[in-house]
Amino acid sequence: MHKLTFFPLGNADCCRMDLDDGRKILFDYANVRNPDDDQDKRCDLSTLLLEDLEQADKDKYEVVAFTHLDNDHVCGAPSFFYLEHAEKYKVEGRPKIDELWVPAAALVEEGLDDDARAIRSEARYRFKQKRGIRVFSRPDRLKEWMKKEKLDFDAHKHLITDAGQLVPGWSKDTDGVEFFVHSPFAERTDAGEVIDRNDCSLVMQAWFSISGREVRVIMSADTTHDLWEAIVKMTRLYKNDKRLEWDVFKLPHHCSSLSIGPEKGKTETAPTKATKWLFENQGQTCAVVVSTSKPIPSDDSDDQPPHRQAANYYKNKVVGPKNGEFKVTMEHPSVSKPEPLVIKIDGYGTTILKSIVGGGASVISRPAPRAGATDER
Amino acid sequence: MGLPSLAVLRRVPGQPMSDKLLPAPGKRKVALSKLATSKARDLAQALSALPYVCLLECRTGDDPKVDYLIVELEVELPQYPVKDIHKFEVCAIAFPSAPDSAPDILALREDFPQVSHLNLREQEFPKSLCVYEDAFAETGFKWSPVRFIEDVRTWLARTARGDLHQPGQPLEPLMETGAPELIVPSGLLKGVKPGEYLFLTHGMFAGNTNTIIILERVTSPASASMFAVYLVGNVQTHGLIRKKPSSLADLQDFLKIAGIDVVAACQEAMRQYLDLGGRTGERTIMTVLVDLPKARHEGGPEEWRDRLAFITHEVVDELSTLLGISAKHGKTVGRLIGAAGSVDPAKISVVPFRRLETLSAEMAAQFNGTPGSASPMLFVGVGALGSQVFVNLLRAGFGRWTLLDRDLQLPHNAARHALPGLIGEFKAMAMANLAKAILPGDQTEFIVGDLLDSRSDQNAIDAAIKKSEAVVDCSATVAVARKLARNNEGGRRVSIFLSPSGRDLVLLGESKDRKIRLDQLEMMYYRALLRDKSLVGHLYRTGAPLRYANACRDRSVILPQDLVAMHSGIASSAVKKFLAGEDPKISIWRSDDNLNVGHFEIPISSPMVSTNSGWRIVTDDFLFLQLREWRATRLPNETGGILFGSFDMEQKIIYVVDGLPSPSNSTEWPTVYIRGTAGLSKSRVEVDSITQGGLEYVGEWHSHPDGYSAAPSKDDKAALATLSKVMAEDARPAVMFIIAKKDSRILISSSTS
Repeated sequence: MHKLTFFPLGNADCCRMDLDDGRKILFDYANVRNPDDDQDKRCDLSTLLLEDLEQADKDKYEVVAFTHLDNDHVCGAPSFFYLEHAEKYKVEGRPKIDELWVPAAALVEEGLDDDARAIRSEARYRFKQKRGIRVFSRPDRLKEWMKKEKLDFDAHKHLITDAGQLVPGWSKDTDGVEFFVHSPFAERTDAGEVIDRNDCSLVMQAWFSISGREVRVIMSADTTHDLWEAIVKMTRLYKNDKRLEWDVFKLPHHCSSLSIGPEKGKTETAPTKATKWLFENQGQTCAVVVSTSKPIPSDDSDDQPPHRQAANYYKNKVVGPKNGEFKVTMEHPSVSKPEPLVIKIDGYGTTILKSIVGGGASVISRPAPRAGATDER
Repeated sequence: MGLPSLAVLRRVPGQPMSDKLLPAPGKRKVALSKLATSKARDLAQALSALPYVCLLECRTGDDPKVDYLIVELEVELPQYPVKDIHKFEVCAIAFPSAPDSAPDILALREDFPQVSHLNLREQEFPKSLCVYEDAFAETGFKWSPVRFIEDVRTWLARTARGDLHQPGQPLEPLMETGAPELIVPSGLLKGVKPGEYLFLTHGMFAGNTNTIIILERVTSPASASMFAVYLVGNVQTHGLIRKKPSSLADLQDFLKIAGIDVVAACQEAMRQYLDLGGRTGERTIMTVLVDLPKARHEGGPEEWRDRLAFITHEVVDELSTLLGISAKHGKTVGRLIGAAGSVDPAKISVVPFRRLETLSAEMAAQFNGTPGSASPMLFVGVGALGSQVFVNLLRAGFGRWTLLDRDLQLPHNAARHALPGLIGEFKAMAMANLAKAILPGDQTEFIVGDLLDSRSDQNAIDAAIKKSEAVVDCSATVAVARKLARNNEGGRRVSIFLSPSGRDLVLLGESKDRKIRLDQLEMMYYRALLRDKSLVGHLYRTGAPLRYANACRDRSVILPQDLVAMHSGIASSAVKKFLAGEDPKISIWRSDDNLNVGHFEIPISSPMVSTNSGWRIVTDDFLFLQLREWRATRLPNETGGILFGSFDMEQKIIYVVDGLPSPSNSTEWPTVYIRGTAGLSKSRVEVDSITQGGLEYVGEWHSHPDGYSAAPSKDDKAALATLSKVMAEDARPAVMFIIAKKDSRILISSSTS
C-alpha cells in the first residue's frame, strides 16, 4: 500500500508520500502554525512528521522536493531538516535528506532571505558536491551561474532533469512509482528580469502502480492557467496525454481561480480550453481534488485564495460528474477539527481514510485546554 | 410508509441521491428525547457531533417496543470497490427495549447487494448486517456510540473491498445466536457422494430441543430415525441464501443457482427409503444436508464450504404425498407407480439448522493453533502427571496413542488425576474411553500392563514400542526409563517427571537418531544437580531429602494438584516442541512460592561408550575435560581423585559422569600419587543426598605427568587389584581412569565371579 498524506496547514503545503517499500518522499515543508495561539487549527507539522519517522524507525527522507521557494512551501524547513552546507544546520536527530529536488530557479534566484536562502545554500552546496540533489530544467541562468562559480556543466549535467522527462532512478514497475516532470521549462525561467517563481516551479505527475492498479497524482505548485496552457500544449504535442491523466490532483495555489482561468467569475470560474481539458477530461473515475488551503469562504471579502468560485468549478464540473471528491485540507474531516488527509493507494485504487475519532482518542489528539491553580493570565 | 423526505435531509450536498429506499421501520417519527432506550439516545446525541454520519430521523415502533435511528453513513469507499456498496448508505438502527438485546442494523437501500455477513431473517429485505461476531450481551457493557458507528462503517468499507470475509468463515448469512444446531459425527460424510442418502439415528438431550445430535449411520431404513439427503453445490463466490427458507420451495429457489435440484433429490431419497422398508406413518425426520463450496474469485479453486442442514417437519406419509411419490386415497396413502404425481414443495416446511461437526484431532490442533501429529505414539504411565499431560496432548490433536499402565484407579487418585471418578477401572482403559469422550472419533488404544513385570503381555508392549514414532514416559520410574533406553525398537523416548515436592518438572529427551539415550541423559541431569547452584534442593521434599519415596507412586505423597496441573501444561507444550526438533534435551522448570517458573536448559555432552572386562562404560566429554583441567593445575606432579557415577548391575553398565579433585592430604610427586581422604566422606554423603542416590562413588582417577603415556604402571596395576578386592565386598568392579597428556585409559577389574 502506498499512502499520500496532506497536512492541514492553512494556505501552505506539505505532502508526504509513503511508498509500499518503506521509502518516504516529502513535497514541500511549511510549518506555519503559531504555537502560541491555541486557537490555531493548523497542525504541528514537525511533531507529526517526527512521530511518523519514529514509528517507521527511520531518520531520513529518501526525497524532499521543494516545488519553489515561497514561504508557504519552505517555512521552517531549515530548522527541521539536517542540512549539510553549514555546521549550524548539522543537528543530530533531525531528519536527513537523501536527495533534494528543486527547480533550477532555486539555485540561481537572488535576493532571498531566511528559510528560502538556507534551502538555496543547501541546494548549491549539494550541486557543487555533485551528490544528493536533482535539479529540474537547465535555463541559461543556471549555466551563467555555473560559469561564475567555475563549475563544469558536463560534470554536473547528470544532476539535471528537464521537463518532458521521467526522473531517473524511478520506475513504477520496480519502485512502485515514477515521476514525470511537466515544469519548469527553461525558457520560462529565462524570461523577464526577475524570476517568476510560479512560472519556474516544479510540477510533476507521480504515477503509482500497485497490485495491478495504476494511480496517477498531479503535484502542482502555484501553477497559473497560462502555465497550464503551456504544459498542456507541450504534453499534447509530444503525445504524452497519459502524463496528464490523474486520479488525485493536488491543486495549485490553494484553490486560486487564476489556476483555472483569467476571470474569477461570479459563482464559478470558467476554465480555459486547456484547463478544461486537463481538469474535466483527464480526471479518472472517483477522482479526488485536494485543495491545500484554508476553508472555502462563503463570500469574496478576501481576495487571496481559496476562491469559492474556483471551488465551485472543481465541485460541479470536475469531481461531481466523476463521483469524485473535492477535499480541502482545513475542512477535513471538519472545519472545527482538521486532521491530516490520508489517501491510501492499493489494489482498489484510491481510498480517502475516513475514520471517526471520538471520546478519549479525540481528547489526546490535541493539546489539553489550559488548566492549573491560578486564574491569572 | 416511505421516506420521501430523506433526500432533502442529507448532509452532503452535491451528491445525487439516486438510491431508492425501503420504507423506514417504526410506526412514527419521534423527538430524540422521546426515544425509549438509553443506547438509542446516546447514539442519536453523539451523531450530531461526528463526521461521516448524519442522523436523519428518530422513529419508534410499539409492538414490539423498538427505537429506530435512521442514519446516513459515509463509507470509506475505495475508488474501485468490488461489491456494490455506495459512498452513502442509509441504515435503520433498531434498538429493542430488552436491555441485553443487540441493536439490529438494517440497510434501507432497496437494492442493497447480497453479500457475506448478513443475518438470516424471515424476509429478504431490509438486509440485516452482521456486524458483531460476539453476542452483544457480552460486549454491551462497553457500549460506545463512536465505536458502534465505526463498527458499522468498517463493515460497509470492508464489504466494499470484499475483505470482510476471512477464509473459513461462512459466506452464507449467519443464523442468529440461539438458532438450532445439528451435530454430526466428524467424518460422517467422508466418502459419501453428492446425491447419496444416509439412514441415521439421532437423539436429543432432555430439556434442550434446540440441538439434534446424529448418533450414527445405520444400514437399514427400518432402524433409522432420520433419513438424510447429502447435496453439494457448484463452487460459488457469493452466498445464495437470501432469507430464512421456510419451505422446500424456498430452498429449491436458492439452491438452483448452485446447480442443486433439492426436490428431485428428496423425491429419490424418499422413494429409496420407502422401497427399502422404511417406517411410515410415524415420526421419521427428513434432513437435507447441503455443502456449498466457495471460491475467492470467479473460476478459482474451492477454498472452504458452508455447511448447512434443513430439517422438515412433516411425517413420512405427508412428505411422500407432497413430494408426489404417494397419493392419498381417503385415509390411506399409497405409492404411485411410474412418474411422480403432483409436487407441492411450498407446503413442506423446513427449519434451517447450523450444522456442526464433532471435533476431530485435526480440528483440535487447529483450535489449539499448534501443529498436530498423526504419528503413532506410546504413552507410558497415566498417573497424576501422565493423565493430565496426555489429555493436553489429545486436546491439541497431537499423536495417535497407545496407553500403557497397569494401575487401577483408586479413591485417592481422584485428588490429582484426569479421570472423572471411575474408581476400580484400569487407568489405561478408562483414559482411552475418556479420549473418545473428548474427541468422538478418537482411536486411542491401551494395554493394561507393566514394562517391568514379566506377567504383563510383553509381546503386546514390544509391538506397541515398535510401531511408535515416539515414546512418552510419565512412569516416574527410573527402571522403566532405563529399560526403554536399552530397547532399540521404535522412535525416540522422552521422560517427564516431577521432583518429589512437585515444584520442579524435568524433561529428558533423546535425540531423534537415538545416539544419546535416556540413561545417559539421566546421568547428565544428576551431574547438573551437583554443579548448578540454582538447582539446590531439587530432589528434596519440604526442604529435606526423603529417601526411597518415589514421587507419584507413593500413596502418602502430598502433592498439590495446582502444581501437577501447572506442570502438565508446561510438559505437554514442551513435548510437542521437543518432538518437532531433532536434538536431545534436558530441561528443568523450577517454580517458587509465587508460582514463578524458571526454565533451565542443561548442557548435553557427547557420550563416550566403551566395553572392558564384560562391562559397558558410559562416560562423556565433559568429565574428561574436567579431569584434564585438574591434571594441568598440578603439573609437573601427578594428581588424582575419585569418580562418581552409577552401576547398573543387571545390564552390567558403569556410568561415570563426575569426580572430585585431589583431597588436600594427598601425596603428589612427579611420578607418584597417593590419594588422601580429606573431605571425601562428606562429599560422598552430599552427592548421595543431592542426587537421591542417583550418583555414587564408582572409582578412582589419577594423572600421569608429561612425557608418560596413560599405560598403567606396576604401581597402578597393584592399586587396581587392591581396589578391586574392596569393591568386591559390594559385588562391584573397580574402576580406574588414567589421564596422560595425550591419551587416557579406563581400567576395570572385577574380583567377583
